[in-house]
Parts: sequence; C-alpha cells; structure tokens
Amino acid sequence: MKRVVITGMGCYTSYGGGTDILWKNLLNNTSIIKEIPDSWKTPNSRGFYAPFPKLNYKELGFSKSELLQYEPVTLNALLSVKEALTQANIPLIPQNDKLNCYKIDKIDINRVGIFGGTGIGGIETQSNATDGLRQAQNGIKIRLDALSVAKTMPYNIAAAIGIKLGLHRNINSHTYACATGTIVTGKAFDAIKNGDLDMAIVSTSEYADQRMGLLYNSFLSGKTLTTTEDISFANVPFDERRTGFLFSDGGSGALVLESLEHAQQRDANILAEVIGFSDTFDGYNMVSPNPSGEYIEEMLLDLLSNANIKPDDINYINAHGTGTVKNDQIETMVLEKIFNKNVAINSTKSLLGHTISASGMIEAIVTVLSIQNKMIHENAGLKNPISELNLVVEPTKLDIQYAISESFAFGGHNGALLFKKYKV
Amino acid sequence: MNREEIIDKIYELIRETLNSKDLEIDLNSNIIEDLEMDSVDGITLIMDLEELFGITIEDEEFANFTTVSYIVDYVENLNKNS
Repeated sequence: MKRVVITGMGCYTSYGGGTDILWKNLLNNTSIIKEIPDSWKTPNSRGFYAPFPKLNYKELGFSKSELLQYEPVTLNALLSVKEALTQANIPLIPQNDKLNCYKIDKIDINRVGIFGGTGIGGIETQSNATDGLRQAQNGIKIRLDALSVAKTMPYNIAAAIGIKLGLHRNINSHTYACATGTIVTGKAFDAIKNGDLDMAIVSTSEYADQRMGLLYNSFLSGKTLTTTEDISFANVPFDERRTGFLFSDGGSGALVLESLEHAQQRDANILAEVIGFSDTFDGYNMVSPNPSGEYIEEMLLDLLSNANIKPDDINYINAHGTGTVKNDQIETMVLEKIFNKNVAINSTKSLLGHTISASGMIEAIVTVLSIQNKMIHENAGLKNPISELNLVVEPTKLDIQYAISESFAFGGHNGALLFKKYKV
Repeated sequence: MNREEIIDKIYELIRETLNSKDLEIDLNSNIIEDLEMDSVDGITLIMDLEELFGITIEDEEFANFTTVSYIVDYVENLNKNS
C-alpha cells in the first residue's frame, strides 16, 4: 500500500479565487449572506443565499472556443485546477492556443488520473434549449446550442481537465450529490494507495446562478433551505434556531494527490497526508437521512479502524454541518457516540453556505489549511448549540495531528476522509 | 462597411476564434485544411458573424463555408441587401 499526500490545492468560492483568500475570510468570519435576487423570487419564494462572484471568464484567460464549450460549472473547476497545479509545481508546457492546452512535463502521464465531479452540472444550457424548443414549436426559427449536450453532461468537467492537460487514460467522473467532493477525493486516494496511479488531479464544482433561480427554488420546494426572515440566523448550523441550509450558487475546489514516493522524487512540497477514506449508503430515503445514523457511524468506525486510529487520536472534525434540522441532529448524535467531547468541530458551511458537490472538496481544503496553520475557524452563528460537543465559537489555535472531513448526500451516500499532519 | 473592412473584420474574428493573433490568413485559405478549424470553431465563427454584421446565416449555408473568400462574399452580399 502506498502512502498518499496532498501537494496542491485550489478553490473558487463566494469569497473569490484562491485558498489564501478562502482561509483569510474564514478566520475573519466574513459574512456573505445576501437576500436572493429579485429575478429568483416567486410569490412563494424569498430568502437568503451566499452569492458566487460574477466572473469575466474572458479576462480570466479562457479562449472563445472554451467559452463556447464550457459552462461556468466547468470553467470554475478549471480555475481551481490551475491553482492546484501551480501550488503543486507541476511542470506544464503550452501546446494548443485555441484551447489553452498544456502537456504535463517530466511526469508519466499514463500514471496520472483525473477525478472530476459535479452534483447537477450545466443545467442552464438545457434550460435555454427548452426555451428555444418552445419557440421552435411556435414557428419561430431558432438555432439550438449545438454544444448543449456536451455542456450539460456532468462528465464535461473531467473531460475538460483531461483535454486541458492532454491526457489519454484514467479520466474518471463521479456524481454523489452533496458528498461528491469527499467521495471523488476518496476514489483518487484509493487509486493511488492501491498503486494504480502515481498522481491524481481531483476537482468538483457546482454553479447555480440560473435564470429564475432554478436550483434555489427547487431546493426551497424540497424544504431543505433556511426559511427564516431574520438574516442574523439565516445560516446557523448546530444551533437550536436553524431552519435549513444556506444555499450557495457556486463553488469549486481542486486537489493534487500523489503517492509519497512520487512527491518525494520530484521534491514536491507536501501539505498533508491522506490516510483514510470510507463511504456507506443509507438505503433509506432519497432526500432524508436515516434517523438511526447507523451507516454514518459504520462509515466513521471503518474509517478509523482501517487506518488503525482510535477515536481519541482525532483532534478536529470538519463536519457536514448543513443547518437542516435532521442533518445536524443525526450528525451530532453519531459524533457524540464515537468521539470524546474535546474534539474540535466546526462547519465550513456556517460561513460559505452549501456549495453542493463542491462542498466536500472545499472542506477537505479547509481541513488541510487547518492542519497547516494550526488554527480552526469558528462555527459561525452559534448561540444555542444543540450538543455538548466542542463546537468551536471563535477561531482557535490547535496543533492537529489527525482530522476528519465528512459529507452526506441526497440519495443517502455518506463519505469521510481522514487526514494526518505530514511527518517524514 | 466596404469589402476591405469586411475582410479585416472576418480575419480578426477567425484569429480570435482560434486564439492565434499571428495566424496567416488570405482569401484563398480553406478554413478546415489551412486554418484547421473544427466544428466548434465553425459554430463560434458563425455566431460571431451574425452578431457583428447583424445578419442571419441559414443553417443550410454552413456546408458552403469552406474558404475565407466564400464567407467574405456571403457577408458582403447580405450586407448590401440589408
């Protein structure tokens, strides 16, 4: 079995582009909660969200051909990948002006894998196509977007990264709703640990600034979003006043994972080690977590035992922590069962809102940043905690040796990653 | 817009589509064989031509867009008639 390390990270969030920006704002407890745009409102919908920045992708260096083929969900993933590859110091040689393509230099590309994912994908294109078809059926001559299938398919992200880097093998695409980021990282970890790959580039992304707030209103209809009219507790995971999660309309993250020996051979800077991944499936309900929490418990116990780690060894848990009534209740119930009350716990969603498939990837990045900086950000908005667990209420210094990041998803998928401070 | 201006604009659009500022183009350039445009580039170019010149290009016309001179003639004719 190979040891697996992280050598590069990148992200784009409501705070903007870059892991430095993310970390600074998390420690500053920067609030990004806004009322939803008027164009999203209906007689039945109002409320709050965490807006993703409006980006000018041309100014960010994308070519016309890329802009035609990729929706923002993919473009944001590519931005995160670029940052992660730069941090990992992966040598890239420019190849093709039209698509801004590169060739990975000095690394055996047949031993490199892409692991891309999204929860929903580029649904704005299909929404436009539906409008176009309606016009066509009314006799108006229109031209449907010839790339509408390619732009909508969830595989667009993994394929775009593969094209960008000139790869010809090991392109993987996964979708596990809100747990996608965590599980895709776990799949990459397994492939390197088992010796199938030397290196993996992992990225998940979600983008939901659709006309009329399609995804926002769909989640709202499913009664999963915050329903408060008071902005001061629109996003309060693990608090008695929580009413649902704060929707974010975008986010992306990327990681570069390598076998330890591969990273050492090319003298890469190692940020942290991944020592475990586990996932389970509730098999219970499409939108509601299993109230027993037994499969989350099983996942965490497997995660620890497979890595030969005891619950008391864990210093920090980056929780799923959405702020829905049931999720937080079940999550704290399971954590109370397994861990002692000293383990520091926070929810990154308490600051960023819920970025769906990107959340697990961004939270893995936050976990690594916490290990590196010996700091954890606060669980924002917490006044009346629902549990006696150590839910941190202010940025806290902590020398983390072992940390867990966990995610749960619509459909019933649960995933968790186990990180370790890197020591030679 | 006179013919020379149309030619300059079309050269500019092709260079922008192919993300290649110094691409050599002349009226005899074949867009597939010489300029190596693919189907995505073709769609991009057609959409840009429509937007820039305020014209509508019929889908049936796409197959005829083989050389730069044909495109220039086509746009010039539509421009004259508009």
